[in-house]
Amino acid sequence: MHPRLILTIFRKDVLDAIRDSRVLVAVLVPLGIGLFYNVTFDDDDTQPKATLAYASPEQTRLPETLREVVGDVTDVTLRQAESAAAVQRLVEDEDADLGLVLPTGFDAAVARGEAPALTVFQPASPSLGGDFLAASLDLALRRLAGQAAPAGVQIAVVAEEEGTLAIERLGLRRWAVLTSVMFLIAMISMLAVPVILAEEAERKTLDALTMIASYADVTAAKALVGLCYVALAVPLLLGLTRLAPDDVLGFVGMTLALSVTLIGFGLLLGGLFRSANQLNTWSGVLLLPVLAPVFLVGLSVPDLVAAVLLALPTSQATRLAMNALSGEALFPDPALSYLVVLAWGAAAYALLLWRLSRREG
Amino acid sequence: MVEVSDLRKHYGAVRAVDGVSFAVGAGEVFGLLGHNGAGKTTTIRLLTGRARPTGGRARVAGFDATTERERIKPLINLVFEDQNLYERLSGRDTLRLFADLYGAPRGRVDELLEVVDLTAAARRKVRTYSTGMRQRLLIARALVNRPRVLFLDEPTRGLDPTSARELRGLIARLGEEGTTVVLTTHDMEEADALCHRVAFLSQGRLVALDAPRELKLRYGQRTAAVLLRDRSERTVRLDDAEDARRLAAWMTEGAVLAVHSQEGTLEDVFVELAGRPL
Repeated sequence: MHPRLILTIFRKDVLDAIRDSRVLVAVLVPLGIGLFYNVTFDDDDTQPKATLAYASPEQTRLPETLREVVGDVTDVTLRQAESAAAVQRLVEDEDADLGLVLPTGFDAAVARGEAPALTVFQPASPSLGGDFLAASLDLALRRLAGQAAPAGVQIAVVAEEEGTLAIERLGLRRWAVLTSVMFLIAMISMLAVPVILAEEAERKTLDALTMIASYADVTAAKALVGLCYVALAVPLLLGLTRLAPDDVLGFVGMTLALSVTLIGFGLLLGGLFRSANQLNTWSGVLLLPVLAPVFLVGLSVPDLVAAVLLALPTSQATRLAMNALSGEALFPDPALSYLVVLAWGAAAYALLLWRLSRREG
Repeated sequence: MVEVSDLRKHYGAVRAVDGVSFAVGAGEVFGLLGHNGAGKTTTIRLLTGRARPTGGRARVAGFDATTERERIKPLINLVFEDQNLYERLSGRDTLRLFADLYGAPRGRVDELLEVVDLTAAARRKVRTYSTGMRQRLLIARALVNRPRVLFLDEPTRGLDPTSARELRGLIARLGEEGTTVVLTTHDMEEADALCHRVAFLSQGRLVALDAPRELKLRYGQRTAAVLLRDRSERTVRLDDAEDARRLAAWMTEGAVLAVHSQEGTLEDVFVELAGRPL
């Protein structure tokens, strides 16, 4: 291979290919989807929220105690109202999920064990967070009264299914944008790159290039173009969506490994189709087995599907990406994940070299 | 500059090139003529290292076309039958790309644009070029590395008569400047006008090889048509003593209006050799 020739062809392709509408679409569509997900979903959507309205003629510790009892399970917002009527109106207008009206001297009365009256307003169709607040009220009152809980409950989660909580941990927005990052890598590798190669063969410009360069030089240049587009587009998408991986190195490693592997398959595809338009037509079908596993990682799936996912490069890369994005070991065995991704890559490039050697011959 | 010896290329039972031998000297313009499927393009592919021969040898610019392909690449170039250009690049960018690939100086680009008369259109995208402009750009692209041997596959196909004539002038100049040119063509008049020697291929075999004039003399009719004052036309054989005397007599009498040589054309030669016209 000749580095000077590879770089010259690469320079031409980087500037020329993006003027091709098919290549442009392959890059812009995942970027657009990522941006759409980013504005549509919220990272905290999976945590219930509740607004607690209360009216008390004096300072009270009950709302704060209730928030402490609820803990991380529900995100509680406190809203003090001027009167019982105001609390009721807030609940009726669905501006509050639960309303409390406390009489004068409530906290002191509770502490003395006098069982003061507490009025609670709850909507006819309570929200999840409102329900949880109402259910936790008794425990909050006991705490306010200085009573110990009837029992010290300790919950231990055992035999948690691998990755079941991954999407919850990441949050819907980050997970959704991550799927568009994987979509972006797949579109560049398995649509843009093969379209560039197929167009060269279709228009026979490949023959002109190989008057001086080898097929291997041309192929290497196309692979570099794919890597370059990934290197520009992925950070752009992450930047536009303000998605910062906690483990940047891990994310870069995953992106590189997956891109190199998928580009290998993309280059193989580029040689199989007679025209770039034919490739473009079939790209949806071709991308399906590549992208479908991305959406299944972290979900509860049948054992057989889970076993198949373990053997696929995009699902393993998604596991690595989720780990890198969260900075946690949501999925075990990252070395195995890299091994699977790179093994597919090795297979792709072995086939590619075999095909090139036949063509050179 | 090009030496071909018993060159063969078989695709299964099909003998695309079947034992062809010839040599082309430096600065010579050499034509490969024949029907479609006669083996012209396959011969070019073998000589440019784009296909491996089944047998025989080909040396180009002093190197074996099969085993020393990498050494030949910088010394040759090819104008393809198809107009295989990058549509989204400008003419200048096209030449810059190939100048960079061949390691030619950037100044060569402007020089070539001038040679093929594309300087004014250099910044336009190739997709806006006419067929003739594209063909001139293809020639310029093939000259970017100052090839010692230039192969042209049907260089004037699809061109209007004016563009074709301009292109022939350019090819002739290349030969005069010392570039060895090997071209394939269907156009016998073009071959006659351009080529120092031509080779006729038929079904993969070389059926004749010589200078066009020699071939015409060898295979053409040695007769002349004589137009007399009474508007009658007579044919005289140039090798016949009796006909020579008759012609002399008509001329003495002042009866001859015109004499037309009936030397054969390359087309006639080809029909005689290949059995059917192109």
